[in-house]
Amino acid sequence: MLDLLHKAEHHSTDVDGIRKVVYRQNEYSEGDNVFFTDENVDINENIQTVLTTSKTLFYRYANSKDIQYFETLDEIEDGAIVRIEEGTLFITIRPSSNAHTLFFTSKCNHYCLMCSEPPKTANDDYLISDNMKIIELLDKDLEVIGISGGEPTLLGDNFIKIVKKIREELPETTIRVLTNGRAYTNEKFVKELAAVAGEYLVSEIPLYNAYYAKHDYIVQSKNAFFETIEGFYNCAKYGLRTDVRIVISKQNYNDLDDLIYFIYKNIPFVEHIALMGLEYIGFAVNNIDDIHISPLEYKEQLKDAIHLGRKYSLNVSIYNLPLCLVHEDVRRYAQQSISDWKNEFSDVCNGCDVRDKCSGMFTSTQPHFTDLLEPILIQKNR
Amino acid sequence: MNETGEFVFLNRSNLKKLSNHLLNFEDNELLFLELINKQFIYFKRDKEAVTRKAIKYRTKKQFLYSGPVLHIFVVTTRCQHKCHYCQITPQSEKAIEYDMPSEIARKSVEMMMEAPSKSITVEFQGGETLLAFDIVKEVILYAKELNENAGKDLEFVLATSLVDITLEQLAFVKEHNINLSTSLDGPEELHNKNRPIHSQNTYKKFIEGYELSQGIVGTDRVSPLLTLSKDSLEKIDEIIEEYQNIGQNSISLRALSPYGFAVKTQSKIGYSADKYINFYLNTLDKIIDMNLNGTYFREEYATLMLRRIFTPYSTGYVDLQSPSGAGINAMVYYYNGDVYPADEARMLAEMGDTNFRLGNVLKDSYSDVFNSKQLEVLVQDSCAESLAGCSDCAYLPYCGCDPLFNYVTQGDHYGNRTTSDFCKKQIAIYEYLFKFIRNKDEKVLNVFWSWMNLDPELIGVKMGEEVVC
Repeated sequence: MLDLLHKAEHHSTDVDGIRKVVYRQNEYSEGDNVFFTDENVDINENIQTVLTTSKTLFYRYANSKDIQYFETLDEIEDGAIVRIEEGTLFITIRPSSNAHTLFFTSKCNHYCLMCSEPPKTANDDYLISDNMKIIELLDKDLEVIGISGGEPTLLGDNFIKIVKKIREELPETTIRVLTNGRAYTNEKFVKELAAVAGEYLVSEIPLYNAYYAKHDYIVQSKNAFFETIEGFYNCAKYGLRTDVRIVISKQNYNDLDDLIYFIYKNIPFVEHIALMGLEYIGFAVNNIDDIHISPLEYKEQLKDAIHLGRKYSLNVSIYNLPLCLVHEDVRRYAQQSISDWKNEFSDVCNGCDVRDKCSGMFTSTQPHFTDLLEPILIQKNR
Repeated sequence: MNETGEFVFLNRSNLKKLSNHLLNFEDNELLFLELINKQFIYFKRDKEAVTRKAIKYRTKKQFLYSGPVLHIFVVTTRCQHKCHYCQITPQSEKAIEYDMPSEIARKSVEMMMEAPSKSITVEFQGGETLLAFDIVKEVILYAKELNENAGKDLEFVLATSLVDITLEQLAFVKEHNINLSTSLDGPEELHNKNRPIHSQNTYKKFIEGYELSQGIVGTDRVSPLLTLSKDSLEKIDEIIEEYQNIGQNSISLRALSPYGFAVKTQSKIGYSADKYINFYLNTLDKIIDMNLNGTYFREEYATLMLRRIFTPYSTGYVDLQSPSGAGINAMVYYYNGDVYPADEARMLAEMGDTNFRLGNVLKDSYSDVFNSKQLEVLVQDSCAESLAGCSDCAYLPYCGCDPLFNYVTQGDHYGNRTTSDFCKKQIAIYEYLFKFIRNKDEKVLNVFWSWMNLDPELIGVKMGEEVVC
């Protein structure tokens, strides 16, 4: 995910591109590294590319190195992968994060009512070469790499090309793709993808309702439901792994049990089903009246859906909801699912006994949830 | 009810509307959506509706793709027991000419390994298999040797009374992860009456063997099976208690088979279909109550039927498939090398009727046997979808055929459903189960799911540590 953008006060275009941040001079090697320091230190001869927040250092080396000065640079960790473009710096990978994601494109063929990352139409082909470079720089022992968008499969052959690159550079890493699965109606595409990634790739595909018209309405796209289901089948046919993601909103909270039934009877081969709370950002803000529902209002429905999934031996989880807003019978299905950089707790959470097991809230969700929260106290002597 | 086993309860008026294409969305939105969800109706623009249904149907019929998975080796017909209901003619303990010769054992293994099936279960039957344990060993070792190239998933089941099982035999059982399938008919008196060895206490001998085996190979590798004689029907409470006492949490209430001794002594140990049905359903009531009161206990036949009704998966059970599992999912290698499509077919042969013999391992190949005329006829005439009395039955998607049962009881393998005990019994069970489904009896349905999933926690019986919070 591209985030935490910084503007340089002074910049040199020779620094531009995808680079890996290095803190220690002896670890720097020629190529895609960029050395970072906030102190006025002597810089080795072999180091050519430098980021700094020290003005003195900047003036010392302004003529001899490709150096860029920022007034402040927060959270730029050792080993971070950044994109620098005409003095603007984006952090794309932070090593300390619990989730690493490659952003493939802003384009999408769905316009989901609650989309947290609204699609854009501008040309973003540069992301293809950027991602190819990022993949080379990633830690080889990374367990999981996410692929997100937009709709990443819109890249077509380039999607497969990038996945292939991941497989070559990171042969042990699991790849988790957030996709609407409609590209998988193309059997040739699925076959090629399976040949490249096999069991190392898991597609996480949203399904919002068992009734096609309701699903199509939520994603604002005709034929979405039928094509997505066909996509699931093609994945199963070629051995590609699939998960289902169900975002719970006002549009579908009463139909969750029907949806679980549909999944069980039609696509029981999916490996995991996540029932997810909303993130109040992007389109969700514009469409709030159409989608907002308090988790307390769908507590029973969510509990029933989880219990049904359990009966069907489906692997079900709850994402993005704090434990105190989930029915106590199904709290053990709630995962700590929120990426650390957008995860928050409220003041009342300090008195809660299970805070360390709780997902907390999205930064964007917090205002909607704060008044509902109630610390959970474990009875010590039971 | 539709082809894939989905069902909807409709009142007469809605059913009429549906069949006359008069049901509309505005009047009955929920029902309409249910019918779509379960694929009774679909929209023209849903071009993949038929494909989706076909995939569901294929999933349910997955057993057709697997080839023969169950390979039964009748390693001997010698036995020290003289059980009243025995399905074969047991030979005396000393009659070693009734053991499978080494050459036949090896040829049978070779034929078995030719089957395309990825998973293979080798089940040893007798007689008493322990009396021919050297042949059991030879089959297992040779199968494993050939499997080094074939790479199949091999499993072994030894059917045995466990009477006089030795430590040496158990060491082999443990080494090769063999499952032990044994017989327990109930409490001491009943077991001894049903399963006599001269004048010995066979119950005591069974318990000795059972406890010794469990100690060595582990509790879950030893499973007792119940055979119901006339006397058992009156003593079912004691039988269930006996099963619980020896640590079992399930029982299978199978009716007595109409083969071997059982036919000759029908009047002495047998019972009518009506009597059995009455017994079975009453006992199911009791077992369900046990579960509702917090004791987890399964009835296996009902569990199988429930899996057929509720799950989207294929449930292999060779005696109740359409087409029948005889031959296409199971093969029997008789001690003399003859190959049969089912255990019941070799029992018929024991009674002198070799009509269903598919060939012999000494002179026929796997393909001769699999493509034999007898098997072709059996498969053709056991597709319930095309049988009179089955094709228009509501319970067809969950049911199957047992052509050998038809043959024995009615004189031809095609069978006549109107007078079939098999059919009567099946329908009674489906109707019983659907009563709970139709009434949405959530508590009982929960018990059913705990059976299907082998999951006592679903009825609140704790198995392990609870997660705090």
